[in-house]
Amino acid sequence: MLNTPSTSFLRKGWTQIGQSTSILVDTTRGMGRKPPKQGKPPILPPSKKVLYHVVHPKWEKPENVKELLWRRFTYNNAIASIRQLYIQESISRAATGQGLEAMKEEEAKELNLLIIANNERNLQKAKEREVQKMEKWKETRQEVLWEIQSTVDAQAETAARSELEVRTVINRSSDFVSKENLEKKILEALETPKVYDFAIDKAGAKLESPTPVKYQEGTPTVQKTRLYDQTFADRV
Amino acid sequence: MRQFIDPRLFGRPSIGLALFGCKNRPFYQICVFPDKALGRRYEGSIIEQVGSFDPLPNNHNEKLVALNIGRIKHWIGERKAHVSVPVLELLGLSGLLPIHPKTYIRARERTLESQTKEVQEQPKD
Repeated sequence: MLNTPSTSFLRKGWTQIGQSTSILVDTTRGMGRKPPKQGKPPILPPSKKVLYHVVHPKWEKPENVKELLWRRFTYNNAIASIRQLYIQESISRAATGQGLEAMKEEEAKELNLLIIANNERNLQKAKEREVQKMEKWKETRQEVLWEIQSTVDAQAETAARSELEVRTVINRSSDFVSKENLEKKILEALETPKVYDFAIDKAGAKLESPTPVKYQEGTPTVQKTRLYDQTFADRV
Repeated sequence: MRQFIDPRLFGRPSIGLALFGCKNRPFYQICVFPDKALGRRYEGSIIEQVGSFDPLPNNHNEKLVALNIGRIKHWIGERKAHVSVPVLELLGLSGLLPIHPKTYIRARERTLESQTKEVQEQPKD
């Protein structure tokens, strides 16, 4: 293909040298190259730093500048005279007793009056507080007395109740077992044994099982289960 | 040798706006500052507050200004205080001082702007 004399087929950047060879002359230098680091070759000037933001005010229009000039002059003159006016005003006020000194004196007087009034009010309040305190103290005293009274009453009631209880117990204690009547009581119990191991039916009849005996003969029956319904007794 | 001076009495005080408020909410106090030589660096260097100015318009489209006129008169007259331009404009609009030249110029510029806007917005037949 390269043997053909026409060069129209060559890619851009390629040059035909001989009949059969072609080389790349235009290099692709610069493609994919990063900018070199600062201070490294090739040396580049350092990038610009923005240290602060400078405000550039808009220029006034020339006609405005012209007008501002005379306006400023008149304004400044007016201000100067107004200053004088204020000074005179303050002087005249001081002369007529409305100045700063007079105001200060007045304020001091007012402050004294206020302090006196405040003291009076404080004394009045202290008196009221004293009266209130006394009333409160009396109330508390009454309450405490009532409480004492109620406690004493309750104690007396309890004592009466306890006394009654003790008295009934003492009355009952004639039947109690003591060292003296121990033998007698034992014999009495043996003579009249009391068995509380029984059931009752709907009518209230006692159903004892096994039937209690006065003197146990032989080995006592070992109870296995209780037969509550005695009507089943025959079947068992 | 270093001398202690009373900033209230030293030199020529100046009246200006001190920016208070917070993020996205500017608020100015109209304050009296000590002489320039002493600086107006800290809140603590403010001698006296003589008013306030809220630059954000409220629901009624008003920018509220409060002024302690008696004290301002005292500082301007007796103490010959230097007054900054924004405060002079506010005082002019309040009627205490004559209208400041800048206010005139700005008003005229605004009027012209609005007029041109109206003309542009008119439908062309």
